[in-house]
Amino acid sequence: MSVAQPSDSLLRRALHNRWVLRFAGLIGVLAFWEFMFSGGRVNPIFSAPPTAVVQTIPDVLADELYLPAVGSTLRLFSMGFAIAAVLGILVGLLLARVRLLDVGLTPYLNALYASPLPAIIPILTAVLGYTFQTKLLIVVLLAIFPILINVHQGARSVDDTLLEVARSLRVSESKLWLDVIIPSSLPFLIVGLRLGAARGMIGTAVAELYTSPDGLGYLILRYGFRFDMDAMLVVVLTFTAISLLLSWSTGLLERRVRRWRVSAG
Amino acid sequence: MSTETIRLRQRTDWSRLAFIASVFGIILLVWQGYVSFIYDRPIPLPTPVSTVEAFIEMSETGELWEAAFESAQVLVLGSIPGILLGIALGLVIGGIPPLNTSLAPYVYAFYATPFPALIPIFVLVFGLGNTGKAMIVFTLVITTVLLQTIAGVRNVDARFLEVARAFGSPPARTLLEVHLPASMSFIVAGIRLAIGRALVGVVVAEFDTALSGLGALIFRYSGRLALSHAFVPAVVFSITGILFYVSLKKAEQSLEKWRQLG
Repeated sequence: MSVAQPSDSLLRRALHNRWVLRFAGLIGVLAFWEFMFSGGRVNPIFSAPPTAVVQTIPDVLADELYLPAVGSTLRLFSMGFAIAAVLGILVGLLLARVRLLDVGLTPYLNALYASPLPAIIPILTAVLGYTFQTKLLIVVLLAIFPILINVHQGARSVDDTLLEVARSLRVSESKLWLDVIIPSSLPFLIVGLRLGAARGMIGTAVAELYTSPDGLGYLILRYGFRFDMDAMLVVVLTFTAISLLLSWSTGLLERRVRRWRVSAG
Repeated sequence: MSTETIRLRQRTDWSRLAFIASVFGIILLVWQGYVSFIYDRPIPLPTPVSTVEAFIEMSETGELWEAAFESAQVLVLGSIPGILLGIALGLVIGGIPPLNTSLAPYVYAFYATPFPALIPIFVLVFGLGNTGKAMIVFTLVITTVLLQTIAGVRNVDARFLEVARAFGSPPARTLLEVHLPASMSFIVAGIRLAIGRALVGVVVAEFDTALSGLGALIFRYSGRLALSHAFVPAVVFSITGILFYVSLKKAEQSLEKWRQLG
């Protein structure tokens, strides 16, 4: 703000360029991170300055366990997320349409949404065993509620005039769904999918670390046993990259749907 | 006319509540019935009755409240500094646009990281004690509150800022007296999201160490297949989460209404 004098226009221009600023921010974050781990501030065993982490990246990528781990994490997430999306959309639409179910069940579904569901993971593993199904259930449980609740809200917030026009034109129930309810609740669905994907990734990480270790979660634990902090962070950054990619692509979808809706409405 | 509508609304509300409560009763009955009469595998599932019995036993021996106190301690120790620092940093970063452009993407990237993946690292660095768990809570809370505060500050009505500028208010004062109150609904939303994440963080960290807190109780009793006893602390966690969610959501909605009025 007050840094830029009117005379030094180069600095001023730099302060208004997004990419220059972001790059400066990155340098700042990395410098702070490096500083924290230098000069013996942290026990050297746990020291993981960015310079060391970056040097470890090729080693981790060369680990023959790395790519299969990424694959099994992606498999767990995408299967769980797909199941959560289908079930969430179906139940959300059903609740929006059947009043009795809506009144009776919505409070309990909201309560489950607000609960820290990973608390029941040890119980689930005790009952269902250390299986892939247990992990899948954890991902579904975490991802489903934002999808379900958003679809429900979307389908209930359909413009009344649209419904009235459709009814006065004697539109059939199936056409009403396809042409009115689903298109106008689409933006809500996408928001639900974005939130559900984020929670699904949290579920994936929990499931891979705290049931039978698998995928990237297993790699984190494995490097942890060797006190290899640098490698652990490389795996965590892989998780970050997957999540950012997911949030970026759902965000893109969201903007596209919004634009389509504005131009159509 | 108006009394009529009020009475009508009250009546429908009561029947609605009665219906919702009876649905809960039906769920409990079906659950109890399923486990007692149909379920026939060797691992004993918790039922409503056995959970209540386990609750009475665990609160009589005091282990439940002891563990709840340990978990609550970690939550409070981590979240209060996290909330305060998150708001302060959010005001500064959100209030200075170049700072926001340069730092917000990295805070967001950290926020987007599925945080359970970080827990083994925290346990490794900060040990198995309360410090490590409080640090996990602190980290989860500060990033969430920080991002929401930034969002709030960036959404302050431009008219307010213009008035502040017209009266020559110094930037620090504008930040405290215009940005802060105007972004309260965002901040409360941030606290609500943060507590939700922190509860998950605490319970998972307590699995990891299995030494203290409600998470450790869940973990140990599940290991012994005493699933009703394991279910009790999970319910306590869940009720805590729901209470925080509902009360903060209420606060958020009234603040949002107040914000829209301005």
